[in-house]
Amino acid sequence: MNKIAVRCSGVTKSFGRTLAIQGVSLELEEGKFLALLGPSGCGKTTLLRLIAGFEVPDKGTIEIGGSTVSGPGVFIPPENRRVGIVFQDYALFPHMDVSRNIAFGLSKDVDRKKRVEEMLSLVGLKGLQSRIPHELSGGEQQRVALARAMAPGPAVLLLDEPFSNLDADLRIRIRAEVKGILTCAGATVVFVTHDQQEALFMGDLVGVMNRGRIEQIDTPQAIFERPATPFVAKSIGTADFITGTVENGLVTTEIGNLPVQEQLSLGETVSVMLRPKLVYILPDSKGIGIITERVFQGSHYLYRIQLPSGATVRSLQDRNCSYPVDTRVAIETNLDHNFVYFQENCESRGGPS
Amino acid sequence: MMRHARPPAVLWLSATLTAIGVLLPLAYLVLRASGAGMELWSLLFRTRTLDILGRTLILVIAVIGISLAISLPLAWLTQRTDLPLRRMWSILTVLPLVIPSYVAGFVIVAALGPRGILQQALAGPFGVERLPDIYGFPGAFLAVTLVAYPYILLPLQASIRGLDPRIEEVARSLGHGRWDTFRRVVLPQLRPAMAAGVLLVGLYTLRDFGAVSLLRYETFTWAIYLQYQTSFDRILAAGLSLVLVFMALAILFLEFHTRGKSHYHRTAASVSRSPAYVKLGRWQWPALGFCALVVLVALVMPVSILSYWLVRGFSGGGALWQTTGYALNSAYVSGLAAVVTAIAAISVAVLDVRYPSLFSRLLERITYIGFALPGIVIALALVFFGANYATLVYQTLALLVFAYAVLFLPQAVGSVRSSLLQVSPRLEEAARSLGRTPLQVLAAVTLPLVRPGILAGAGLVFLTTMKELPATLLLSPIGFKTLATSIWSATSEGSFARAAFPAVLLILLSSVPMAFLIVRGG
Repeated sequence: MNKIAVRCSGVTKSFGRTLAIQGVSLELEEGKFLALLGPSGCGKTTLLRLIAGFEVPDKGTIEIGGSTVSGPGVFIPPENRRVGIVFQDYALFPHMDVSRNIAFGLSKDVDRKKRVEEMLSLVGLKGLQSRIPHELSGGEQQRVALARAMAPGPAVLLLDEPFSNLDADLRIRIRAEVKGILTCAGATVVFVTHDQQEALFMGDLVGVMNRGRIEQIDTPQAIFERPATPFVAKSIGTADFITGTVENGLVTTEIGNLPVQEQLSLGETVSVMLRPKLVYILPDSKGIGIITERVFQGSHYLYRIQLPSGATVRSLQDRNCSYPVDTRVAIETNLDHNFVYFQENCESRGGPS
Repeated sequence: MMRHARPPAVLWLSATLTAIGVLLPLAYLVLRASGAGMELWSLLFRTRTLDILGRTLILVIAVIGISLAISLPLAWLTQRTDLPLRRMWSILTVLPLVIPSYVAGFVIVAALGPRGILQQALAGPFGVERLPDIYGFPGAFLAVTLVAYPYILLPLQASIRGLDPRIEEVARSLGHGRWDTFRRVVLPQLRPAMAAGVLLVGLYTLRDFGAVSLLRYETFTWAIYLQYQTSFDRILAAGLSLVLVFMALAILFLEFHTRGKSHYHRTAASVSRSPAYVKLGRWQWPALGFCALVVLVALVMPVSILSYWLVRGFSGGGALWQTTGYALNSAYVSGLAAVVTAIAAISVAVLDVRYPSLFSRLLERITYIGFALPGIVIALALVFFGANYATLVYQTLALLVFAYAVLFLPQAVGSVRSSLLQVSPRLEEAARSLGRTPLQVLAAVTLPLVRPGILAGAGLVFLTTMKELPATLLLSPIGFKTLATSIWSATSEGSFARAAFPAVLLILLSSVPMAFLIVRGG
């Protein structure tokens, strides 16, 4: 096992009466990428700023590279933490050219010129060293910001919504480039995003945040297949929920009886997560569902189906299965699938182990 | 920088010292006045004080009234009608702003006073020995109005320019006539600008010393000066000063209040096209006549009178060298004031913007007291204080520069502050994460980025210091004369030829940046 680059335990932070971060704990190994995913206001940027040392936690400890930087009686200021940070708007110093920006964090005793050269070639900006920031494109500015943050060799690199300032078509290309640069440099990265595609693409680990807590932190695959809460289920991939009751080792729902892998207590009410790919529909005049919406997605149709209880589920169908809105349909699922159940208190039960 | 971090000690120490310095004169006055107790009240409630109060209020109200009457039509004509040479009129009518009030006072006395141009012109052919007395209210009213009305005109022009013409079109389409639309739709939208301008003019008039002293109209400032000059009655002078400060604070409070309420927004982010200009038709001639009259009285007359005395002064072998010396003195002391004030302003502004807390907000607010303190009040407080407790700096440039800093700190703080607000705190955080301490970040990132704001603030302080009169008059070391004091004393002594050259020089020096501002704001 690799060394731990960042460890947070029980970190809590409030601004006035608002609890921004509530008891967050996480560990990140060296060389790994952690994506903090969540809606705006969930506390992900605050967590990043706590790690960077721009905020002082109320409780809990933060370690970087094995030494405590925030904790009871300890507060190491940002300049002594060995963190590199790239802001959403890049925050390049407008009064300095590219090479002075990159050299800003280098100490006097390193060969600054050589290090700047190295960084320029790492981010692919050779020849642009004497440009000033506003002469650069958005993508170039971002690479300068990356180079500047990486130049002093930080223990961890923090990226705050790094791609949200770029055009949609540019974003996909740039994030691949950035991932390549960071992997090549062997950097340890914590980055914040509200875009699940970005989190899945960049993160070795994804931490899904909601209301100041990390609801689940795991590999993207594990999170997709076994989300800990309905919120997590909806954050990674698309998910709908229907209610069911546990009876004789089966869960009875309005779309049929579903298998249970783990013991659920008899008579318990649970909600079942359904991904659109697992919901099959067939036109049937006696079916229980009615198509209320049809969205063409190129190779597929995404249908929304209303059930008798009023709940809706979505179904992904091949493009040749075209049914008009208001069609009555029968609904089936793959009974071999390991379904994920949530109790009323949102704890996950079952699913593949 | 950090929302919950402590500011570096140097920063809050320097900001705190600045705030204490700003409070010092006022605190001393209060102390002095309260020391007198009942005696002060009986002094203040004599009829003479009420006379002064009455005269001051009459002047303030009269100047505000006439300024509004001049500015409203001027602003509308130059922004919204097809008046010929609109742009020229709109610039020319604002220009009197660069004339210091004591130069306006000089112009009035030199033109209409005894042995002034008018009297001399009439003396030859008609043998007129005396003109109706210009001293007192008429002269002071004319002089202050000449230089104060642009403070209403400028915000009105800007406000009319910013009006969304579509709102008027909607009103017209809903069946309101042109006049009705103006009254019910345009005028209410101009109210915030008018209120701001009115209060500015009020404050200007209240604080003015130059014009009222030269025209011998005894408002508070002139009365305080006389008190200081003749009897050296400290208690009464301090009491009068406090009343004046109280009135100025009231105006400032009103200004603050109206600014908070005036949130008028355009319906859309931008006006896509220029408004339809109202066709004046036959009214074009009276409109032109009105503009020409204002420019004639407020600009052409002062310039011609100054030129006349300038030529007379030169032909009489006026002391060119002496004036150059005054100019150098002015520039020197203004430069000192600009540097000192800018440094003080940086600490206050950085503390307030980057380390917001109740304390830093309080310090910032305290520095704005200079807006309310008339120069004569600061000067008086420092004269007493210096003579009693700080004899080492009394009668030195240090005390004078200190007075300037207290008076003009708000301008510098405002300028640095607004420039600082445009610098993203992310830049400073990036620098911190790259291994720099807060003070190193200030030097390497923040200060270079707010340099334009610092320079603009220092420039502003430099210019206002050049024009400042009462504090300079009371606090200058013996024998240290500046352009401002030489104009004032030459005019008081009736030697207009001696006053003309420094006056022209002063106007030229201060109008260059003014012209720049107008052209940019065009």
